[in-house]
Amino acid sequence: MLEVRDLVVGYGEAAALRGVSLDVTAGETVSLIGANGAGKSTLVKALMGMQPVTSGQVLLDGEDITRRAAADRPQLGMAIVPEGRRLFKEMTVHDNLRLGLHHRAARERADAGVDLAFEMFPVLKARSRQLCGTMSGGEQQMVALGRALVSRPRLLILDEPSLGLAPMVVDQVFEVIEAVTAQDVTVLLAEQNMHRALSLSDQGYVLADGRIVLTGTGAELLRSDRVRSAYLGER
Amino acid sequence: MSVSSLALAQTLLNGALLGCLFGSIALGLSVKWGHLGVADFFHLSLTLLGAYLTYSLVTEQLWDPLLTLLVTVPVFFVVGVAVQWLFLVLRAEPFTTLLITFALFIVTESVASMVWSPDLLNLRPRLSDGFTTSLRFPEPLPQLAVQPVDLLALVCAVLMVGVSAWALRRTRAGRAVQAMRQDADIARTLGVRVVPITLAVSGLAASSAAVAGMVVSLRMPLSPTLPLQWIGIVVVATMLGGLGRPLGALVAAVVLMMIQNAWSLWFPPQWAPAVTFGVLFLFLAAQPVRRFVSEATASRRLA
Amino acid sequence: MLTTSLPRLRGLAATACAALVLSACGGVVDDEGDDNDAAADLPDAELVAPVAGMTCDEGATPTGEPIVVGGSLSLTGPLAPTATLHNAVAGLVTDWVNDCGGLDGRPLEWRVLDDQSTPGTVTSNYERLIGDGVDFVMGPYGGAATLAGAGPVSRAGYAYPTATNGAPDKLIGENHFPAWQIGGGVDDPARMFDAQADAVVAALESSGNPPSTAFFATAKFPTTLSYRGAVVEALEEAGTEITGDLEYDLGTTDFSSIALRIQTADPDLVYVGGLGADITNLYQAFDGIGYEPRSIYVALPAPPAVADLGDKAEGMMISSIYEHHEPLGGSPVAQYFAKSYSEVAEEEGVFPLVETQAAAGLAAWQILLTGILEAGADNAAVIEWLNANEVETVVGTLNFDGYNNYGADINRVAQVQDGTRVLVWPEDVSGAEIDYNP
Repeated sequence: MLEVRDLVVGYGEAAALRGVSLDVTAGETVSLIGANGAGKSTLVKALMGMQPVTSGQVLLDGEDITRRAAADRPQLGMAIVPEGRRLFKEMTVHDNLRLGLHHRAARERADAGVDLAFEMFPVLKARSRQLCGTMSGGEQQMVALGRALVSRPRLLILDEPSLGLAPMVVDQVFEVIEAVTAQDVTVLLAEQNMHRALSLSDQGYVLADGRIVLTGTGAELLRSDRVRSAYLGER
Repeated sequence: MSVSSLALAQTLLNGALLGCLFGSIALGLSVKWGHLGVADFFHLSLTLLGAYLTYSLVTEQLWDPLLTLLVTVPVFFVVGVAVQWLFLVLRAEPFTTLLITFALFIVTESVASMVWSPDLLNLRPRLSDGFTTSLRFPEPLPQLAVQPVDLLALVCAVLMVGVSAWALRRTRAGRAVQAMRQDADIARTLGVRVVPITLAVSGLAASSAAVAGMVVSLRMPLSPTLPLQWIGIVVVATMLGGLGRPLGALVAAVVLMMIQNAWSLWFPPQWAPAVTFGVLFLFLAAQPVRRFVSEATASRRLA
Repeated sequence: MLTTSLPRLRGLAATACAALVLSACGGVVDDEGDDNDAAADLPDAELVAPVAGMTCDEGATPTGEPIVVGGSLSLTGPLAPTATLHNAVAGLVTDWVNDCGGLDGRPLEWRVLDDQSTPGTVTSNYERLIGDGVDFVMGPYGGAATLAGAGPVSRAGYAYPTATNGAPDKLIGENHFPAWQIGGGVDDPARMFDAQADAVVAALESSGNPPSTAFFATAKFPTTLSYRGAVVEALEEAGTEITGDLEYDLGTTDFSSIALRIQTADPDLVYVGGLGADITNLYQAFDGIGYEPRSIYVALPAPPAVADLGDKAEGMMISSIYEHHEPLGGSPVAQYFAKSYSEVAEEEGVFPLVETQAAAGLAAWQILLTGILEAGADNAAVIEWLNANEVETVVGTLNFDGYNNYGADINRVAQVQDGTRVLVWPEDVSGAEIDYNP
């Protein structure tokens, strides 16, 4: 479904991505692991059109979307849960969720509207009038997940969804991700927490210093010693 | 009712109605400052130009003042779009936009001097009695009077600010405008087209200046330096109301003018404008306290 | 008791909206304005020499080096309305002199720099003009600007004629030649505004019904405040009780509180130490509460502001040194000036009738031109001659004998009668008797 070919972001020594290629098959969950600064976030941003690409290609179902505007992503069926959640903090939960349906294509796909998010996270329903800036990290992550999921994306990209959350909340988040993967959604998960990520992935890519250094199924990578060394950042 | 309480009621009423006019002017400033990040002093100049255009159309073409909006509103929309487009092309930083709008503010004064002369222009003598004869309140308050022009200011303010506040909160485009200001990158990934929305918001803000300008031309004698007299109250109201909150700015302008007028009734009137800044100062000084209280309540809620 | 029922308010709103909609069918009065008509009524006038002692050689082309007069005027900024008028006068006088064959055969040239109503720029403008070698200078408009220009002008030894210097008490020196002799006939430098105040009181007393109570509302502006102080003292001395005395900020647009305080006091005389459009805004506030002052005196209103008030201005009294009627307005010079000024002013978009400011502007030029004619194109000689002699001007005979070179007292009071401004005090220049019965 998603193909990345020799993607380069930045120039020369300072390049953040130095020729990354990967494949995500429809319906699979693929995780992207690596140390802080390995290039995970840059790759995610490049996929969402939030980061200019120097060279290489991003193909979605064979179509070149490398230079399509970020605002076209909902039409392509892509949605993101960004690192740090990046909610619209001065707006209510309800408004944040409704922004997930801003694009006409998103509204056409969404059968349940924002209620989908309330079904997944009943706790949000009572809080729908609360400003997101006043919520705890875990609650905010639910809103961020909800905002991405209400549009019924075909490809969901999650960037560090567990970062900075309490262990109990992390469990909750991964439960939701598992529930999503069980549906018909393709998931690309960029995550530092490699055990949690790989254990629910069909496929994994290990990123270090802007390059893919290792690839395999989730189970293979979990057993591999090289993952550990790459993860620790032997450059 | 004693004379002084009647006088107080009248002066508060007058202040509130004049506050409506300043609230209408603050509308565009608040929206552009809060949502586009442009502290647009040129908005005040546009209001003045709107007033002068109304004056010219009324005195030279003998148009009805309300009809002039058919021309000024679309023209100003285009001007608003053009100015914002310039900022986008220049990739202007907030400070650069401030400098540019301030430069335009100064230039407009000179241009207005050249085109309309620096002399006072007063539309009032040209207006029919319907616009200028005061209306009396019905019983039980026949002593209170209100001018039709002030009622027009009230209607315009309530309509424009009401529609803006409603649109910002309740419409898809309005939510997109809010989202765009808070996190443009993420808003884009949700399908928000930032450039067209930015241009449209700027255009609409400028259109509101055309309406406010029409009211100004009916309400007060025009001179090129008039915006300098508004800038204090309009900027303070915009800040007190909360940037990007038109309703807040309107309420703040109304309250400030009521305070100013009540002050002038008992205390030396020359300090009335200073009262406005005094209120702003108190408000800013209260911010740390407010933040402390809200954080305390928030942490209690989380605990 | 401040509440009223909601249906009533709705009714009021509906009535108001209906009124607005109805008025929309013809909301505008097709009125070409009284001021234009008045200007059109001016009789044609023959070209005469602008100053006594000069012969007008109509048709003769001036030759040789031009005599350049430089000046700084606030063509933009808050002082622009009046300063533009003075620029129009300067242009008019220049053409006038050249139409008459020039000054001793030499062409007159006017060079103006804009100071944007900033005193600091006035100083540098005069430094630049003098550095560029202008032959003479003309003073700027406004007290602060006049003082700012005095430094470089006096240092360079130039004569410094001024039209309306609002700060007569600030000493400039022997080279200062004020046309509007605000401080005329006063010896004590601390009491330069007394002549003005005495004129007000004398005018009121001449009616036989001087006010027993007076209420003062004054703009916070140096000249208006000084005026106010002197008038308060003079009225109190004459037995008038001051029932209110307040100041407001320059640029105040909402006078409703002030109007209410005046209404509550309901004095015989309302003294407005106002500038520009203050009077328009004050009357709008009076309209709003349905109050008509028993009588009103305004220090320095903008002429179009008074004209726009129409009937409401009837009986209003104004500080003045000139209104266009006999005897001052009857001279051929005044006639020619009034006619050509109305044409120039209309082009510039300023008020087309000659009153205090325009007349003072012409008088300042008459002072300078007379000095040059009598003493030659040399500043030291002009200064010496003017200090020793009298000058005939459109506002009367001026001399420069007293403190800060203020000489004769030409402070006068005008009143709007039958829609026209006439001088009502003192008797030697008045066109009508004061109509005052509060």
